[in-house]
Amino acid sequence: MGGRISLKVDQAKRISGHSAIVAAKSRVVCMCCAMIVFCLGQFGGQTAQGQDPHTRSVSQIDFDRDVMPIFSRYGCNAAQCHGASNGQKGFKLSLFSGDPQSDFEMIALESKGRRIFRTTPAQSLILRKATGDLQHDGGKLFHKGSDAYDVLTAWIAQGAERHSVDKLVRIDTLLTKSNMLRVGDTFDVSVAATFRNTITGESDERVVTAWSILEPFDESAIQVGDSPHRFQVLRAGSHFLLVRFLTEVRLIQIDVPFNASSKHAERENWGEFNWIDEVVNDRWQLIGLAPPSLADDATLVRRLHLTLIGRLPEPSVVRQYLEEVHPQRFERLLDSLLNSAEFVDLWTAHFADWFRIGSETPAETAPHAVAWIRRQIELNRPLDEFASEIITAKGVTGRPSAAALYANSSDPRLHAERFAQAWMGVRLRCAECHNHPLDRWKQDDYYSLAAVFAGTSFGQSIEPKSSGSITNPRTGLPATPSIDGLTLFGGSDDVRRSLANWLVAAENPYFGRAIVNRVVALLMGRAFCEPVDDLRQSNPTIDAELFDRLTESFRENGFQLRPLIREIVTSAAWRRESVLDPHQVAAGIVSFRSHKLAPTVLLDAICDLTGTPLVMRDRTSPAESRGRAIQLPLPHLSAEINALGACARESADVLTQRDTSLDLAQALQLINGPWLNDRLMAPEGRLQHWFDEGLSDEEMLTEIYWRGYSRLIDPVEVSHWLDILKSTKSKEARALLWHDILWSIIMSQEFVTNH
Amino acid sequence: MLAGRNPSKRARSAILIWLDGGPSHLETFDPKPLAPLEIRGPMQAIDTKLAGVQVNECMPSIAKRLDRLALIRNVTSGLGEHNLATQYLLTGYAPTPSLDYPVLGSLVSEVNGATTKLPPFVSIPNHRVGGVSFPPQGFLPRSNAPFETGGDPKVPDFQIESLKLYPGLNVERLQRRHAFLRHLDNLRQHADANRLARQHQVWHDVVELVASAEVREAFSLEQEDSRTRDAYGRTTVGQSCLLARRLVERGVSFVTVNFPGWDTHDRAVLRLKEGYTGAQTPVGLIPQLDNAVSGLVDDLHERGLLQETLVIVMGEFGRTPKVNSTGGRDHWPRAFSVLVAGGGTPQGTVIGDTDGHGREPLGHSVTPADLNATFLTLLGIDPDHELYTSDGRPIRISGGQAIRELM
Repeated sequence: MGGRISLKVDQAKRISGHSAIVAAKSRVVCMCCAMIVFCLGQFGGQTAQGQDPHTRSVSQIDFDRDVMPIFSRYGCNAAQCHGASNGQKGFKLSLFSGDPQSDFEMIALESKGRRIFRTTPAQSLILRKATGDLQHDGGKLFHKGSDAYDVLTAWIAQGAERHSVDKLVRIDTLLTKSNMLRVGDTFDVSVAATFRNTITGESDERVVTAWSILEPFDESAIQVGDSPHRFQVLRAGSHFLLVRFLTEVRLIQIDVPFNASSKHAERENWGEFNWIDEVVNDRWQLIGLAPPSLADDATLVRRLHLTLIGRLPEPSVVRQYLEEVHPQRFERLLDSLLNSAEFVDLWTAHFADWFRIGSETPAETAPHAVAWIRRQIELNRPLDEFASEIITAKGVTGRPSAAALYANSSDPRLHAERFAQAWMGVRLRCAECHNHPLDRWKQDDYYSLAAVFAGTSFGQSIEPKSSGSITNPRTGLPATPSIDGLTLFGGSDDVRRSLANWLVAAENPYFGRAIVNRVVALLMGRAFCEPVDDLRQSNPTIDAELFDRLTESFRENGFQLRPLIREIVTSAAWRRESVLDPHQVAAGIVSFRSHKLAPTVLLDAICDLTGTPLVMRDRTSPAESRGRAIQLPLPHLSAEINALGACARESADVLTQRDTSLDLAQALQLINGPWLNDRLMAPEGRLQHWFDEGLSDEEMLTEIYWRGYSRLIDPVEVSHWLDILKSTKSKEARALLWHDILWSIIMSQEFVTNH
Repeated sequence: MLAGRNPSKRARSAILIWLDGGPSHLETFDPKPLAPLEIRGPMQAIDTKLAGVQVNECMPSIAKRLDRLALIRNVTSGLGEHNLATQYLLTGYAPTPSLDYPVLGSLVSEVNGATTKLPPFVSIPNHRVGGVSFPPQGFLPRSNAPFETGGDPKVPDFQIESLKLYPGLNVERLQRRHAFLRHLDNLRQHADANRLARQHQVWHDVVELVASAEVREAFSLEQEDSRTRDAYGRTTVGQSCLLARRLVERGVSFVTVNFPGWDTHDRAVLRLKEGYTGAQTPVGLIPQLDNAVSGLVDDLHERGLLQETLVIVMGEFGRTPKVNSTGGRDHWPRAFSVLVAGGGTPQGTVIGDTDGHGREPLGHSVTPADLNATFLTLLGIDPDHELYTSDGRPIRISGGQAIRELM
C-alpha cells in the first residue's frame, strides 16, 4: 500500500534507545493505508496537541467536528437505529455519519426544525429524547451535564449551524504500555484526529478518544476494561482492535507473546530456506512460539503434487523421492511440476474460478474462455499483460479469446464489480446502493468505474461503442469514467485501456496485492487477508510485512506466476507440518495450513484411487471421452462434482463461502448413492483387479495407503485392518468389507485434504 | 438458532404449493366474467361460498370451501421473467447479482432448525423452479437447502430413491463405513475439530435417515387408506400434498410441493382444463389443483392441523389480460392472486381487487416482499430480525410489510 511510516518525534527518539528486537515486539501496526505509529515507553499524558471538545464548550462548536461524533459514539446512526435506510420514527441519520449535510438538515431543518429549540436548547426534542426525558425506544443515552449534552446544547445555543470548515484528515492511535503487552496487562488507547481548516489550510490535532469507538475483534482475547478505551489482554496471540472516529477507521494489531523468553537458541533449528523465512521466523520469535516442524518427505511430495498440479502423486514417484539423496531433489520435483501440463490444468481452473466461468457463462462460450486462459498460462504470460488483455478485450466471444471472458453479462456494473474483485481485491457491491462510510469506495466510485465499462457493447462481439453511459443515481447525471479519484480518458482508444494502464502501473497499490493474496491462499491454505477479495482497511491482515515484501518481489519479477509460486513453495513456511496447535493458529502467522481439496481435484483423486476413469460427455458431440474433472470448463454441470462440494465459482459470494462441510443430500449421495459405490465395485476398478490378481490383504492395504495417502502404512494400521478383515469368512464378505474400507479411506480427512 | 423466533407464533409449519410457470389469475382466482371475450377467455366463472366472489369453473371444490380460505387478489411484482420472478416470490427480495437470498423454506429451516430425524425443509419432488437453478439457501449455510424427495408420489411403490439402499448395502454396512471413517479421522489431529465434529454429525444423521423406521414411515404413502388417497386425487400434485401433510404432521417445518406446467402461452383450455384432447372429465392443471388443495385443507382440518399449518398456493406471476392468438396468455407480473389457508389466517377473506380486466390492482397492492413478511410473521418469525451473510453483512429477514388483514 505504499505505506508511509510516520513517527512522532518524541517516540521515535525513545525507540532509538532500545534494541531493534524490542522495538519490533511492541510495535502497533495500523493496517490501513498510510499510518504506522510506533509507541514505546511510558505514554501517560496526552502528547497530542489540541483540546478535548468538551473543555471548550464555550468556544465555537463545529457541527461536523464536534456534533457528528456524538451520533456515532452513542450508536444513534447505527443500522439498527436511526442509521437504518428508513431511519426510525421519521428521524433518519446517515449510516455511521456518512453524510453530514443530510444529518444537519434532518436535525436542524426537517420537520420545520422541530427537533431543536434555539432559544431554549434544553427543550430541544433531540436532547429530551437522548436524555430519556421523553419516551425514546433507543433508551437513555447520556444525562444532562454530560459532555455530549453540553456540546449539543452549546451548538444549538450558538444557532445550530453547519459551517463545514474543518475537514477530518486522519486519525492516529497511541497505546499506553511500558513494554510489550502480556496476558493480564491493561492498556489505554488514545485517539487523535487531525482536522484541516479548509479556509486557512491549517491543521489542528485534537484528542478524540471519548468520541471514538474502539472494538476488539475478538472479545475473548482483548476485553473492554472499566472505561471504553481501556482494555485488558486475556490471552496470547495476534489480536486486532478496530478504532473508528467519524468516517475514519484504523486497525491496531496487538501481538501478545506466549512465552516470555524468546528462544534465540532454538531458532537455528527452525529452518530458513529463503528470505520469506527470515520475516516469518521473526514473527514466531516475537510471538514466543516455535513454528511447526518441517514436514516429512512423503507429506511434502503429496502436498507439492496437490498444490501445484491438483493430483495425487504416483506411488513410484513418492518412493523414488524418498530414496533419492540429491540435495536439490525438492527443487527438481518442484520445477518439473511447475513446468508440467497438469500445472496448466490446475491453474487454469483457479483463474476460471476468479473470473467466474460458471453458470452465468453461456455454455458455448465457457470452453473458449477457458481455452484462452489455458494458453496464457502455457505461455507464461506475465499477469500484468494477462490482466490488460482481459480488461481491454475486443472481438468475438465465439472463439478462444479474452473477449470470451466478458460473456457472463452485458451489465457494465457487473463488469465493474468483477474488475474490482478480481484485480484489486476490492468489493464494490455495497456501494452500488449506498455509501459504506467505513469504506473508502463510495457510490460515486462505483458508478465511475461502471462508466468505464459502459462504453463497451457486450454481446456476440465485444466492441467499444461511441455512445454509452451510466447514470449515477446520487447525482442523476451520467457518471464520468474514473478510478480511485483519477479521471480516465479514452481519447481515440477505448477508455478501458486507460483503466488497464492504471491497474498495472508500477505504483498501483492494488494489483500486486490482490494477486499475491489469492496465490498465497491457494498455496498456504490461508490468505493474508480473508476473504481474498476484500482487502479493506478494516479487515485484519496477518503478516503485513511479508505481504508487502512478497508483493514487491512479485512486481520485481515482472508479475510472473511461476516465480511467485516457486518463491513461496521453497520457503520453510510452506514446508512445515500443517498448523494444528491452537496456539500456533492464534498466532496468525503465515505457515502451511491443511485445507480441503476442491471438488474437481477430489473427484480426480477418487477416480485415480478407485482406478475408474471419469467419463465426460461433451455438449457438442455425443461421443464420450475420458478426461479429468479439473479440465471441465463448467464443473458445476457435473452431478458428481456437486456431490463433493460447492464449486467456488458458483456463489455470488465467490471465494468467501468457506462452508466446506457436506450437507445431508451430499452425504447421502456419497454413502448410499450410485456413483461412488459404482466406482468402488466397478469390474474394471482397482479393487476388483487386485481381487483377481489374488493380492493379500496386507498387500492391498500397503498399496491403498501409497495411492491414497502417499505414504507407507504404519504397522499399527496394518494390524488394525487385518484384525477386522480376519473376521470375514467368505470371499463375498471380504469383498464387501474391502468396499467399506476403501469408502472410509476416500472420505477420511487424510484423503480429502491437502495437508 | 432461536433468534428471531416469536413465542406468540401461530403456525408451526407451512406447505407451499408452487405453481411453477405462472398461473393465469384470470383462469384461477380472479376471473372477469363481465369482460369482453378476448379478456375473459373461453372458460366460465362459478359462484363460491362467499357472496359475490367467483372462481374458475374448474374449481368447484375450492369454491365450496372458499369460506375457509383467504384469497389475495392484489399481488404485484414487476418481474416478468420466470427465474427472476420466482426468486422474488420465494425469497421476498428482487434478485441482485451481488447476493443470493434464501427462500422462505430455508429461512424457516435456519430459524427453527431440525426438531426430528426428518430434514426441516423438504421439497416434493424437487426444487427445480423458475426454469434455471438458483441456490435456494441463498447466503445461508448449505444445511438449509431443501431435501428433495425425487420420484413421483403418485406411482404405486413410491419411495425416496436416495434413501433406498444401494444394491448390496444395508444399514449395518452404512454404520460400519461410518465407524471406519470415525476411526481414521480420530487417528490424526485436525485443525478445525468443530467442523469435523459437525461433519461426523451429518454422517450420523444420514445413516439414521436411511436406517430410521420413523423416516421410512413418514414417506410411506401406503400407510394412508385409499379413501384419503382418493380425496387428494391420484395425481402427482395430489399425492405430493398428501405426503406434505404426513411430513408436517411429523414435525417438518416447511414443505414445498412443486407443481410445474403453468406457463400456458398456448392452448390454455387444453392444458388448464381438459388435460388431454377429447377428455370427457376435465383433468387439466386446474382440476388437479382443485382436488389437491381441497383434499389437503379438509384433511388438515379433520386432523386439527389446519390452525398450525399455513398452506400457500402461488406461482411467480399472473398472465396477460388479453388471450393471445394461440389461445394462451403470456407473462403478466402486474397483477395476480395468491391463495392461503390455515396457520391462523382469517377464514373467508378476500383481500384486494383488480380492475375489470385483471390488469392492475385497484388501490393498495401487495408485493412479494409483503407476502414473504406475512408468511414469516404467521410462522412466528420476526421479519425485521437480521441474519448475517458469511462476510458479516446484516440482512433483514424480509424487506416487506405483513398484510394486516391476514394477522
